[in-house]
Amino acid sequence: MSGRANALTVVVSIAFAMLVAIAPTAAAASCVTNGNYFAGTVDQAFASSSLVEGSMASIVVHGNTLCTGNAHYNEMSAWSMIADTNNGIGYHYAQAGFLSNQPQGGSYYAFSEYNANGAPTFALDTTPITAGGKYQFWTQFVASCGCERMNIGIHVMAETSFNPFIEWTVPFQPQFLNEAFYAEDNTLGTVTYPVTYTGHLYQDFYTNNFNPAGCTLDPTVNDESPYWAAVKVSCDDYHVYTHIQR
Amino acid sequence: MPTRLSRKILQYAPALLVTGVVTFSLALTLYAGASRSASHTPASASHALQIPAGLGAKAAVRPTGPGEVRVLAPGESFIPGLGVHWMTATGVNVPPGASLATSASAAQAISFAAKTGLPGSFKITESPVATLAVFSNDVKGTQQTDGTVKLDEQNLLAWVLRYPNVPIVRHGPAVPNASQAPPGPTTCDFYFVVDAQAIVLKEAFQSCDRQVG
Repeated sequence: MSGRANALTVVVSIAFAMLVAIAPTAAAASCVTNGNYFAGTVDQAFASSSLVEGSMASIVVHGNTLCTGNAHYNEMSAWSMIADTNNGIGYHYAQAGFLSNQPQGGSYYAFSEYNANGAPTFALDTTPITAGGKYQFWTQFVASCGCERMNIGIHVMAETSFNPFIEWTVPFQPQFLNEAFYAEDNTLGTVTYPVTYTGHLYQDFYTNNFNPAGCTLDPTVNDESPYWAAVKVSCDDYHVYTHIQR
Repeated sequence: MPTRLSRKILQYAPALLVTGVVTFSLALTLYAGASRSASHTPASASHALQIPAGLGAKAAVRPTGPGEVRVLAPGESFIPGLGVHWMTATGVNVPPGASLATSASAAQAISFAAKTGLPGSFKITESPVATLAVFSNDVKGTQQTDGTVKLDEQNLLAWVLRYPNVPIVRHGPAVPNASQAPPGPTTCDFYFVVDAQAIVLKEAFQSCDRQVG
């Protein structure tokens, strides 16, 4: 190699090193579009879910970063839900999951929320849960109270103040989703640390027992598909994460 | 006095009777459908099973509907669903082991709550109404193998901090026509409950359904 070539190599190397040194770390995107954005699984098979009165999924907890400059409240969440299929009108649902406003390794909290009239009742479990931990989030119709109960593991977080079979419209629909409040948010989970949904169970209308949901579910919902991923890895194993970070 | 088992059998007798009929009908439907297509047909299936047999039995369990009513003592607050209720603490009703004299002040409780930085506390803009109260939660707890729930908090001397007019944030569901504005109010009270002796955050919730005695 000639001396000129060596000098050029050195100059290029120094320039590259300087570029790397002064390049800013990737900044989070600016928050622009506020709303409810989802990725994950909604059971569209009404033929079976019409007989469902509760749902469960084991969800592995991971975080990510939010967009910045938000005018509205912002956070990320992932949850298991039973919803009225007429919910476009009534917003009828009960859900149990976790939420966070912090990146991977931050603090995460379980929460419950239910709704029968458009004004939800929300409760946060004040004991933090662990990043990387797998928790069963589930909604459960309880015959003794005629209500929908929202649980994490064996811990009861809340119960609906009404009977869903009176206030909602059957059939009910299980949903298992990541949610964000800005389209520019990164959804929970990264390529390395995806939020995983396994162990899906449906509560049977007639027996009140929880039975495996089987392999027919598909993660068909992804409101930010250029950046988020919702994939079926195998039967009853779904991963949701941000594959292009913003 | 009927046993727990007999009550359950009676409760679900109608459902159990029709289960066989529905199962048979469903099997016939699926058999007939299978010959035409292996895929689900949501519209027709939804229509066919719009009112599942046994719905009446399910609906009869709790007929009170939204705004479940509890008989409240004067000064008592109650939020249905969450099962939380509280009464202003006085020298008379202080729980055993607690003391008004050694309780945190309202300012200490408010300062502590503000430092938690919890997600879900949303956009709090107004100062809270602080009540030193005897607080109970009749729902939150650990499920036991016999189906009962061991409750987490009963008769706790606590500061109930009520933040008025906090904007509601709805989580889900994934709605096909989400652009449609949901009905109902846009703000509700948000609450922090702080253990007045240990200064530990015990509850954080938002509800529009507070009932006051």
